Amino acid sequence: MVSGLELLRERHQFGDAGVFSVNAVAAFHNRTTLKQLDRLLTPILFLETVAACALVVTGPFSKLGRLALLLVCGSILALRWRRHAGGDGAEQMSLLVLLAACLAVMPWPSPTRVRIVVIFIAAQACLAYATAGIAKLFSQTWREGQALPAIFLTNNYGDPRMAVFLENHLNIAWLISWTVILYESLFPVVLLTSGWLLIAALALGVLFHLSCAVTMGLNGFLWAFPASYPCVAAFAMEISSFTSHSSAMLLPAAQSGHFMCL
Amino acid sequence: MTEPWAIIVAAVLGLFFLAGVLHQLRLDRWWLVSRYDIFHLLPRYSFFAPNPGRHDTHVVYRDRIGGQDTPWCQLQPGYTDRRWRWIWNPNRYQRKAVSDLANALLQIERRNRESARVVLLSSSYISLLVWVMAQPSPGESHTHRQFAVVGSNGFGEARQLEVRFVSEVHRIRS
Repeated sequence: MVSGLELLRERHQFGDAGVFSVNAVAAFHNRTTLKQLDRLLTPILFLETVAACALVVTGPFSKLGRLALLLVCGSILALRWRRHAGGDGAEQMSLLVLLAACLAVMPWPSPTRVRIVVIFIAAQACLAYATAGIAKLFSQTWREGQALPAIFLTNNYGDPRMAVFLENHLNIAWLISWTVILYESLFPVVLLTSGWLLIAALALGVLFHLSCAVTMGLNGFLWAFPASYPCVAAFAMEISSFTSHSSAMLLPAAQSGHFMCL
Repeated sequence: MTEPWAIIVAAVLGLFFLAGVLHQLRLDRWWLVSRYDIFHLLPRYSFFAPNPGRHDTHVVYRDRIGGQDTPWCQLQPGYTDRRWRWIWNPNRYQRKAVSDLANALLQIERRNRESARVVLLSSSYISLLVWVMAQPSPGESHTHRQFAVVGSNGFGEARQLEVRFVSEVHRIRS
C-alpha cells in the first residue's frame, strides 16, 4: 500500500527524462514490451494500491481477498520488471510473503498449505536475519563498530546529528553494532523459544526496524519484516508444542526403563 | 490424505528456500541458475554488509559547446524530509536505482581493467547514458555530453567528494 502510493508519487521517473524511462530500461528488457506495459503503468500503480487496501480489510481467505492478493502480486511483479533497478530487501521480502500467501489460498484456502507457507515465511525471516548478521560478523568494519558512523555520514541512509553523536561516542557505536550482529545472527534461535521470551524477542525486532526507519529512512523494512513475525511465532509455538508432546511421550518410556533397571 | 497441490507447494517452497540459501553464498557458477530469475525473486539478505555503503552516489553531467566544457550539473534526486521518511520515503526508488546502476558500472569496470572500453557496452552504462542524454539541452550549441559518477560522504563543510567514474564524451542528437 505504502510502496504503491510512493511509486504513484514518483511515476514521473518512468517518463522520458526519468531514471526508469523506457529508453533507459531498454538496456535490460525488450523495448516493445516496455512500451506496451507503460500504457498501463498508472492503472497498475492505482491497482496495486487499491488491491493492497482491500487485502488489508478483507484478508486473503475470502474470494475478494484472494482476487486482491493476485492483483497485488501481479502489480508488484510487473512494476519490478518494468523498473529493473531501485528495489530493496524489504520489497523482496514483501513479495515473497505475498507470493507464498497466494500458494496457501489459491485456488482455495487449505489448512495444510497455510501451514506449509507459514513455515516457509518463518524460515525466510530466519534466513534473512541470519545472513545479515553473519555477513556483519565477517566484516571487520562492523566488528570494530566503524560501520554505523560511516553509514550515518551519508544522505541516503544517514542523519547528521546521529553521525556526530556516533563519531563522538565510538563505544556506543561499537555496542550498537554488536547488538545488531548478535540479534540478527541468533534470530533463528527465536524458533526455540516460547511465551514471554518469544514475545520479547519479536518486540525487539519491531523496535529494531522502527529505529532503522526513523534514523535511516528504511520505512519499507518496518512493514516487510515484522509482517513475518506472526509466522515466526506460529512456527515457534508449533515447535514448542511438538517438543512438549515428544517429552510427554518420552517420560513414560523413561519411567518404564527405570522400573526395569530396578 | 494430503492434497497433491499441497505436496507440490511444499516441494516448490522447499526448493526455493534451498535456492535462497545458495544465493546468499554467492558461489561462482550460481549465475548459471540465477540468470533465469527474471523477477529477481531470489533475495539478497546481506544488508549493509560485509562492506557497508559509505557514500552517496551522484550522477553529474556537462555539455560541450564549441570545444569548451560547461560546469558539471547534477541530476538531483530528491531527499524526503527526515522527519517523515520513516513512514513516507518516495525518493528512495530513484536514489536506489542510481546507486544500483552506478555500483554495477563500477563492478564491470573493475573486472575489465585490461579492456576499459568494454564498460561502454554494459547495460548499466547504457542505462545511465540514456538517462543523462534525455535531460533537456539548453540549445543547439550544446553538441556533446559527458557524465560522471561521484561519491560523497559527510555533511556541510565536512562533505568529501570522490570521482568514481567518468564516461566518454557522446554526441547529443539534435
